[in-house]
Amino acid sequence: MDHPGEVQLQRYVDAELDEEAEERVRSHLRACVACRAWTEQQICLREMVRATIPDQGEFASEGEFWLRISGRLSPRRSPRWPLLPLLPPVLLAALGSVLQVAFAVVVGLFALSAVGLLPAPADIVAGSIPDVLGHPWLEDTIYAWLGWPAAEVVQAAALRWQAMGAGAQHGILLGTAVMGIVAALGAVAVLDLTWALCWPGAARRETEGGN
Amino acid sequence: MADDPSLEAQLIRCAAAGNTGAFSQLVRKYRPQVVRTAYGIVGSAMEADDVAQEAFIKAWSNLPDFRQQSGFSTWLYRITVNAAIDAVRRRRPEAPLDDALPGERVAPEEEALRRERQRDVRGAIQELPPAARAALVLREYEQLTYREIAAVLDIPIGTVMSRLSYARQLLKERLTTHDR
Repeated sequence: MDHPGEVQLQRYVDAELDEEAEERVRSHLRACVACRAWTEQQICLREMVRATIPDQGEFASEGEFWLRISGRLSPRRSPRWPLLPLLPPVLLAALGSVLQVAFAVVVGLFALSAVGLLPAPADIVAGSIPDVLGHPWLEDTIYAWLGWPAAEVVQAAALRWQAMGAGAQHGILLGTAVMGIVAALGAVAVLDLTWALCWPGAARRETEGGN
Repeated sequence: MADDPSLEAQLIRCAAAGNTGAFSQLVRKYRPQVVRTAYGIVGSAMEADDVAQEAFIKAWSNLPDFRQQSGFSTWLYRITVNAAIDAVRRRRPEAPLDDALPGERVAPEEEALRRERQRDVRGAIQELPPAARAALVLREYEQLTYREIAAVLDIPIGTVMSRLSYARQLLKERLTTHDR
């Protein structure tokens, strides 16, 4: 006689077998005294365990239970992006990186123009003087207020620019670009330092308060 | 509260948003099974109440992260079982378990024998290793299926069967020893 394994019998007792397997075990149990005894023992054990299930009267009453936990439920905070307190240094770091890239690009462009691979910046400026200084908006506002004719302003500026010579022109252009970028980097450094001194305390309190 | 899944889902959403009234309804519905499970594992009504409180407070704190992929009751059972097992591990060795049954009075001989038998079985359950005890309590006290127990304990069904088999084997041996 093929006896079902203990796992199979346990699943039978726990009603975890499918219908066909359950029927197979049931018909085996009708014929096998040993397996039937094992199964009955398991059922007896199950009933003994279930007899120890406590009555709800043994525990705190519903009202008392709620009273005990209701005072310990922390209030909910409005959902917020968790990295929000760290946003200022992240943004400042990103801005600083962009400025450093800009610095490298400016220096690179000047180097390429020096070896003749790009037009000289001084020529670009000379070519754009009539377009920039002769802009109708300037003519209608500043020049009109100062009483300057636009054509004369453009001509005077072009002459002054030409008179400077290539060395001074490049010096002015590179100096302006570099100083602008360095000034912006300095502003980023000051803002970052301000954050480092003032914000982390507030950010820590914010994070601790959220937990 | 009726067993209406949509109403329960609504209550869970409201409780997750901070509505204590909705949470109190969930507590009212699930308290019996939570304290019963806790009791099966810790073996003392007073400690089971404490564990159940901890479980509900943890549930309240973690409700905003509850995604309803597993059922709420499965999730709550898991919190309860973990809290109860933690309580058992933290317990000092001399901490007493419930010995006397509440409401016990002078009883006829048969009743006294029955109560003594229950005490033996409770004692034997408490001597089981916590993991096997949790599986047995979920099966016999809560009558969960193997699949549900596997979901609560986060273990494969095969492990559920082996833990149940081990628990029953140990229980049988200990009760046989008591009888001698």
